[in-house]
Amino acid sequence: MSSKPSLKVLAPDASLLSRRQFLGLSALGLLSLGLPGCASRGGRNLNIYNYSYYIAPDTITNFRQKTDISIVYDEFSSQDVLFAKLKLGAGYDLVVASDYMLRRLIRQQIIAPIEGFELYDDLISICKKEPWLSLCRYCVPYLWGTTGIGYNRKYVKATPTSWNDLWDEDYAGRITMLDEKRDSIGAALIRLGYNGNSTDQHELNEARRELLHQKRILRQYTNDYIDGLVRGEIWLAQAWSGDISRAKAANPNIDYILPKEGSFFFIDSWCIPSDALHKKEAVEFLNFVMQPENVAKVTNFTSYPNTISSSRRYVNAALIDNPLGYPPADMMARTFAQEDIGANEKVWDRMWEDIKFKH
Amino acid sequence: MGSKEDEITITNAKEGTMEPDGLEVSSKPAMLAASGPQSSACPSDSPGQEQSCQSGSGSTSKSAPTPIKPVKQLDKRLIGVLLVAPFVLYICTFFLLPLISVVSMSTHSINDDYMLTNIRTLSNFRSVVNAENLPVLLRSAKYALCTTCLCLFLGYPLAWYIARYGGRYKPVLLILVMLPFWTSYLIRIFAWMTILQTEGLLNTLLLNIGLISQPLDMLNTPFSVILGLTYGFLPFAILPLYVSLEKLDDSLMEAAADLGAPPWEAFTKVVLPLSLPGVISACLLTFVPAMGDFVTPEILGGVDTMMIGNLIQQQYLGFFNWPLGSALSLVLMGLMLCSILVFLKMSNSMESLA
Repeated sequence: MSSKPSLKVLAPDASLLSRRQFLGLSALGLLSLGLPGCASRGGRNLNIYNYSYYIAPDTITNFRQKTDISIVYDEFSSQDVLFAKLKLGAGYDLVVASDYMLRRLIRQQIIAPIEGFELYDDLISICKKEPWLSLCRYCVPYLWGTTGIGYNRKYVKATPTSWNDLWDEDYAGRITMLDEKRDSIGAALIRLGYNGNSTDQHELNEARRELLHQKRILRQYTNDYIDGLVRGEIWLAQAWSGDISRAKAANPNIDYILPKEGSFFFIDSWCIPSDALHKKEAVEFLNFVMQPENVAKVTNFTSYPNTISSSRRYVNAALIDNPLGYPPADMMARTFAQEDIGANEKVWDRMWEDIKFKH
Repeated sequence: MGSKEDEITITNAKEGTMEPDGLEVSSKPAMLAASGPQSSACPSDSPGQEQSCQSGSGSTSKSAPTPIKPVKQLDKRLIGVLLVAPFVLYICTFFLLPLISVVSMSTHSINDDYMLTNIRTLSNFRSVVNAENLPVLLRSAKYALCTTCLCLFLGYPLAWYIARYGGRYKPVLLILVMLPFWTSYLIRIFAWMTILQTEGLLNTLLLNIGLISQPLDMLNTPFSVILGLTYGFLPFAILPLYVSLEKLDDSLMEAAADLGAPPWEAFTKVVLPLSLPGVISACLLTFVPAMGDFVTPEILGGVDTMMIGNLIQQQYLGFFNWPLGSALSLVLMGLMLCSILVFLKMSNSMESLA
């Protein structure tokens, strides 16, 4: 993966990289399309493709020590790169997909049902209800998180409470929104009191007007806000919970809230591509990484809550009942999933293109 | 064009009729040879050679020494074909094939699930040629134009200095110009991020020397994008300018001075017209890539600095609408081609004037 080594040089603190890195790098990642390097011949191999900073530092080493499987572990920066690679058949056996991507991968039969995963019973309750119950045939839910507002207390005196704070003209030029149509248009919809997954043309038009209004005071549409927040470049950012955890570790002034109007949660899942050559090994790895103790290590490292309910006792106490980790129940009640909007995806795409480029 | 000339020079070397002029030209980077027809080495020592040498100057003196061992014309042709073959093969595989696939992709349509369908359509082009796309296009052209002007403004004096006063340090100075290429463009643009940010190097410096009292907000603005583009493409402007200034005859300027032209007039009436081919190449080599750039606005840009390259990238990677992305890039290519033709036409008419 071309983007990884260079980033270490660029960012003084490499941990300040977002879960979903910015697109410029992802395009370069696309240039390195191809088969992941072939590991030792004869032995058992496994090619994994995951977000950066989305696993514990010792997970892979520990698994290697326990089995005879040699692992090629690559990281991507955004779901777009993942999709492009899977579509062209890049030879991965296990990948991590976000919820909206998951449905597309299933519809296009790019990923195959998973057989042999042993810990389904231990998944959190959300995954045992629809729509996740049927999705789980194709995936193993892994980590989750929320979309909210990250802010720097040094500059933002009144604690933000609502999406309205991202429209606050007092902070003109210091606000960023996520460069993800589902999150940014969704937030505008929720702010107006509509369903964040709306497909109603009238509601979408109103959201569009709000976003264009906001664009005047916006700094960037970006998923790469951690560094800017830490350095005081960005004061308020639409952000993912785990990212802000890392920002907070670098700068204690950084904090995170879930807006009172409600927000999204997302679940990222392990999937096995239909053309994977090492499906058995992939399931073996899943049964290892999702063990309560192992997946808790991932949570402790990334701050993203995991989907194994019995892992809670291994998770750092600081992450429990913390909006940055496991939000308290009343906050969780205000969050909902980004649903599949099917054919309306194109409508959202056109709208996002219009907002982002044509005004 | 450049590589062809090099190859021809090599053919001559084999035949033992190498001319000193030819040697000098072939030692320059191939890219630079395109800066003007004057630079093309076309030793017209044999009739067969003349045909394959596409020099713009056309003047062929018959005073060159005749080949010691005449080679059959057929053999020569064969050698020529063999020499060109790797290049043609390369172009076919890495330029023509991708281009054909882009053209083919641009006529596809996609279904609601963003999967390619077999229905061919021209609707992608219709959505590209749309007034909505005009602001992005104009913005890109504006940034590219600013970049080109800045590169000329900064590059010309430097190229002049290296060419005229570089002396024996010329190679070192040229290497210094090209030094940035030794590091990834991405890393260099990231470096600008740390320089320009609120608590960055530049603001700290300006605050410390008391030039400003409040940190400037430079990052994520059109300023930072144009700065990044200028920084990135400056070497592409300096090198062709250097080539055209380097071969300028000193005696011409002496003559201008002798005839009473003040330095400024000597520059505008003698130096500038003679260096125009270099200026034109410099314009081409900065404007065209700057227009299509997407990395710089992505990293240094803000909410209102998205360029056409970002839109194409978004179509491919963000929306998975490869047909529309292909149509967009083809239209951009067409526009670029037109501007190159205009540039070249200008360059030709300038030369006939000069």
